[in-house]
Amino acid sequence: MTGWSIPLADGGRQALAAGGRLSLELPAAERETLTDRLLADAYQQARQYKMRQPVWLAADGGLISNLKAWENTVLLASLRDDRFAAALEPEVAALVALLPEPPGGWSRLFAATAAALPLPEKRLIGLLRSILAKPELMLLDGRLLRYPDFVGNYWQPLLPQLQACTLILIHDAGGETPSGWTALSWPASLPESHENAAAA
Amino acid sequence: MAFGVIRALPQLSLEQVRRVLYKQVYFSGFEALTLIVIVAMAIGGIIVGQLHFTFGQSGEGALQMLALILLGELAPVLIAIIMIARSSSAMASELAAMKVNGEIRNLQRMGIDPAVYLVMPRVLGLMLSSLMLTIYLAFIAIVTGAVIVAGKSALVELVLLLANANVVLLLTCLLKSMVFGWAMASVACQRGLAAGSDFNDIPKAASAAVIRCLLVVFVLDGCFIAAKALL
Repeated sequence: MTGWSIPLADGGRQALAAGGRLSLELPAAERETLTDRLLADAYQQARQYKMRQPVWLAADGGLISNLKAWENTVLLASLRDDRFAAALEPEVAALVALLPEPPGGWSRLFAATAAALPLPEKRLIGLLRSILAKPELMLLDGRLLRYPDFVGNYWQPLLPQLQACTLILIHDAGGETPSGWTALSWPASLPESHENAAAA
Repeated sequence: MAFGVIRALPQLSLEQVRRVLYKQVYFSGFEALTLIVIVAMAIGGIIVGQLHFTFGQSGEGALQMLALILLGELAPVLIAIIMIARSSSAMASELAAMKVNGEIRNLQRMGIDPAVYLVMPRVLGLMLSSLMLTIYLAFIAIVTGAVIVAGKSALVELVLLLANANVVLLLTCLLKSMVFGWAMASVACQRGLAAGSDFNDIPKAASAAVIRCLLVVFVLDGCFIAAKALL
């Protein structure tokens, strides 16, 4: 297997195309558990097939509140690839050059403690952190794309950086699927995996 | 959890993990220095003063007894009590707050093992801080005692004391301080990460960490005393 796959309820797997955009509908009551399950499965696959580890982008950015915004930004890339934070500065500079400057400037934003940041900036830092990790698979909370300021200011300008990354948007049943995304629901509408088809 | 630290040690090669360690040493070790200096001067002055001026012990004898009391028992235990009050409670409440806010889950969802990123550097940081502060406390208390009993000849008294130093006692003292640091941090991290999702769990974790750390330190100290008696 060369691509990513997501688990089906019966244990089969559905391979994902590289760079695909999936919108996965999960039952609200099991959303958190199933998200954990999807991620655990993706990490296992990453280890098994020696692929880059996936990333998770939470609706609130998923930052560590007692770290500075800069420390949050470089945390994942630095830990995964054993890179020094200073070496990531040019990459961050290239990314923020694509974005509108926040009030007070970038230095104010990156020097602030995550707990002190307003929610839109927390989401931005979460997104920058995810992109810096150079993922091949990214799972993101579907609520993120319901915030027009996030989508307009940060998501759209930075989306080209994720061209080669498979994205899975996770949202509750009944949520709208954005245009250009393939809608799936858990687990009934997932097409039968190659493995299941072969077994049949 | 306490032994997971050894398994996670190779991850210290990562800059972000080392940063957590440095922060822990700064908070638990460096920021506590002023308090330790004051306590050490008071301890050295009080013990030597009592032995020399009240009980008529000679200056050299009083200083030797001070060193024996400090290295044998008082320095590591006192540092442990100060660190429990300052650092263990803070560590437990910090981790409990992270748990309540869902940050531990976020770390796990990013594939970051909390045992590697949060626990190991804290345990190691507290061990190092405990070791350093014990050395500081003993040193400053003995110097203070020497100045009180010998005045300008304090250096001569210190050289004499050093010449008669009990290396085994010194090494046991350092080992004890490191074991206490390891135990305190492990208990504090365990209590912090055991918090639920209620904000009331944060003060509960801090309080439970303080009580359990005290119990663990006294039990471990009892074990050291028993081992010393048996050997």
